[in-house]
Amino acid sequence: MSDQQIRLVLDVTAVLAYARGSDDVGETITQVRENGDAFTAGVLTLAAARSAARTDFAGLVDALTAHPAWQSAALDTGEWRPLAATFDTLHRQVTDTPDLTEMSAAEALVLSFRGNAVNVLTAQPQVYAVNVLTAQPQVYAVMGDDPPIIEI
Amino acid sequence: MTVQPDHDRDQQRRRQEAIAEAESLGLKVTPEGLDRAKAKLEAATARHTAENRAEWLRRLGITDAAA
Repeated sequence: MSDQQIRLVLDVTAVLAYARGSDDVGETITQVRENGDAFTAGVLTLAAARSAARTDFAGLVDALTAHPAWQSAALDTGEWRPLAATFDTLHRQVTDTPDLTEMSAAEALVLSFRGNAVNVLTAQPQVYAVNVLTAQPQVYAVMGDDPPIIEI
Repeated sequence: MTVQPDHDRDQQRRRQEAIAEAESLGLKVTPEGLDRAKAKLEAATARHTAENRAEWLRRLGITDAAA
């Protein structure tokens, strides 16, 4: 078993950015590797990305999960409460209709809380915002002013 | 601050290995991009204080034990 510590969780927007060849995602996970650490994405996130992707996603998942810094991580049944609470908070803040992006964001956050100093990588920080419908969106406000979020 | 040549060489070696590995995986990375990624990771990691964690959990309505 690897002794690499998971330090980064990709949400669905980051996985999709990776699928589209984002240099930012590639460089971030390469830096995680250089640091001797690991990254992951939850199974809901991978499934959500599969649902949204228009590319050969099977090959992408294989490539992403075969990366030397990849470590699998999955929520346990007993973690449905924090997942539901986080999803509910994000969902209330963003749209009237729950969607896979919000569920993926919730999964990424709950997975991140398991470890020590684990950050979430996203291409849509507004998912974590308090209310994007206000005139002055407060990005990250759900998580306060110092969130564990990295925007690509 | 004292410069540590061995430490610098180790960092350079790790950087070169990481770039070579990334390229072998089909990823496009540059030293400048890795520096940007490193700065972002370090900034985000610095936010992981006990106080911030408690605040994040409180705002999300979950307890530390549940998380």
